[in-house]
Amino acid sequence: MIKKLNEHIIYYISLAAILFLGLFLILSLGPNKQLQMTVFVILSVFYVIWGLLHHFINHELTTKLVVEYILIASLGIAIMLFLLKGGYGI
Amino acid sequence: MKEFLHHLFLPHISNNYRPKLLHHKTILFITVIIFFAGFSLSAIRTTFPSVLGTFSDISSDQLLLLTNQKRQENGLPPLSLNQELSQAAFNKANNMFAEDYWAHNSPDGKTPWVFIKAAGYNYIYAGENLARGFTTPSDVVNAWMASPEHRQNMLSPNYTNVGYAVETGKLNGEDTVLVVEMLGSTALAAAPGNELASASNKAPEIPSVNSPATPSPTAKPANKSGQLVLDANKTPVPYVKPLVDSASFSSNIALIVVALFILALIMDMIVIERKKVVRLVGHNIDHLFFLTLLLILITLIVRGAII
Repeated sequence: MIKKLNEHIIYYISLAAILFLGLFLILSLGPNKQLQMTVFVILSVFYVIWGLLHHFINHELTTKLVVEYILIASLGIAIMLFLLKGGYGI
Repeated sequence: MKEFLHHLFLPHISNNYRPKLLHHKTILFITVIIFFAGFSLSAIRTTFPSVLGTFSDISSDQLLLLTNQKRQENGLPPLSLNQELSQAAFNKANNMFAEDYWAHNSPDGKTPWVFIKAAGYNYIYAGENLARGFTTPSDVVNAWMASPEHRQNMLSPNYTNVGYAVETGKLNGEDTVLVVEMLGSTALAAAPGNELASASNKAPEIPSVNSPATPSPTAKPANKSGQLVLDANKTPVPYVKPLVDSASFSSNIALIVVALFILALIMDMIVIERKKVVRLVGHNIDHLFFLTLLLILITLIVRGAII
């Protein structure tokens, strides 16, 4: 795991930095939950593109990986929607 | 049960060395369930608000008690609950819901002082604190006390009266509990350094956050047609507490789901690292970053806001 982290350190740092910026942006948009949801969807799309781009550069991109990233991002969006629509009635 | 959990969370020959929870079909299944559950909860909120809705344990009496406790701790005299200020706070809250804004001034420029004057309170000093999305009075008071501007309002020696409104409604597309605190005094408090003669002739001091230039006490509040649109006779509708707080309920479920996925990803990483299994899957660390972001969001997004 440490080896993998070291191999892709720039990728992980950039991903963490952008996700952190996204988190900061979403929280600063409060209490406008509709806008927060929109930014989260954009952040999820970025997460998929960034991950797939990384695998593409490393010549390990497969359909299975594409589906995996899309599914994880979709799960995140569904959970946020559940929280904001079900919990706050947006 | 043990085998099932093993199958769900640990990579094993039975699940092709990938926890069942992280299989594509399982993720898709859970995603669809959660997606529809969100819409179902929303429908239940609308149809049965007494069962699932916006929970609030906040009352004016509790807010007054806690505010006066803070004032007492700081050597200040207590505030007394004023009916006109409470009416002004109620009108302000309803105006915020009606015109859908989260600000001290309405989109058409009505300041808080308009509501105070319209309720019949002839102030010398006035201020306003707003809060939304809190469920307990202590959370509201603590949030105000943690903000220098709101704290200054609550602990100002210039105020002698206070009025509260705790109203539920839809604001910016979100069901929320809105708390309006209107502070004021009709005569100068005995604050050191205050000069009665000069203070009575100048514009009122409004230490409230984001407060605009204040109107003179004689200014006539008006809308576009020259009439103030406030229903001073409208009385508060009793709040019916729902059995289940939808925000807490949905955030708890969301936290559990995300935590389970994070657990499965961590267990997968540890076991695969130990067993040196070669697989072609996405980087678990990527997914962990993303789901951790979601976990933090769920935790922080439920907090209330003040202005």
